[in-house]
Amino acid sequence: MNKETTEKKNLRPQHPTATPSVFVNEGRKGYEITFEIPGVGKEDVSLNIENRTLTLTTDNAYTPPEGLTCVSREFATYNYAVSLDLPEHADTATIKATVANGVLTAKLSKRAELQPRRIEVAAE
Amino acid sequence: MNDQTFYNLSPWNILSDMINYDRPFGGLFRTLANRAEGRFPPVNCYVGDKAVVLDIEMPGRKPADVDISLEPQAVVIEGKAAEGADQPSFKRRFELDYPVDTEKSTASFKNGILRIELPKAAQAVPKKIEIAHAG
Repeated sequence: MNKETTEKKNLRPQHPTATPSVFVNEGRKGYEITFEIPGVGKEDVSLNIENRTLTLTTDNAYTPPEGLTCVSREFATYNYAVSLDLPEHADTATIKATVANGVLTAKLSKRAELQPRRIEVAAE
Repeated sequence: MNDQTFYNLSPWNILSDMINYDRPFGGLFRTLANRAEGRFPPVNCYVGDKAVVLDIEMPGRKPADVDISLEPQAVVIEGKAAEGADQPSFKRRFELDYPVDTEKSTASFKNGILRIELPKAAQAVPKKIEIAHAG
């Protein structure tokens, strides 16, 4: 991260931290985990994995329009943070994450030896 | 200008003041409230001398799934349901206290937040009148 970006981030207002909505879908071959992080772009997401703990922290770059008064507030701006323990049969090496429209999607497969496979039946 | 600029037709609006009550719990209840079926995406309204801005939080929704129609003194935001995604349809109408310039209004979508900028129509912008010096 260059100095200019760091300075810019330091000037941002400090937002409270909240747990984002998290959805975990399990398929036959792997998992898809989605985190709702409105206001957060790709450059402000930090996703780490240590042992089998997946940790998400974000820095919300949302700025309200300048010079205007807020007359009705239905959502607040948060820095999102959450940790998830991945199951033993998840292959953490295969994790891939994308951010689009305020949603982070992480995909990872199950360990190859635990995936369902077809057994060839040999003729006697 | 009074602060009651928007007359919200959403029955959920009554809840809006309560929505931030759960900060100590990490926003859990807020999250649950937002997931409730038929919930409208939350909207923040900002008003200035020259413009009105609506910020709508809708993570996961694509700009193509949202229709915005402008009337001289109202905005209608309509979201289409997406199959497969957990995304119900919604329709919300905001009545404004003053006319807006529908030609110069813009909308942008960034990181799951839709921003609609509505400049006030010329006749709604406060104007200073110079006092003529009469002799």
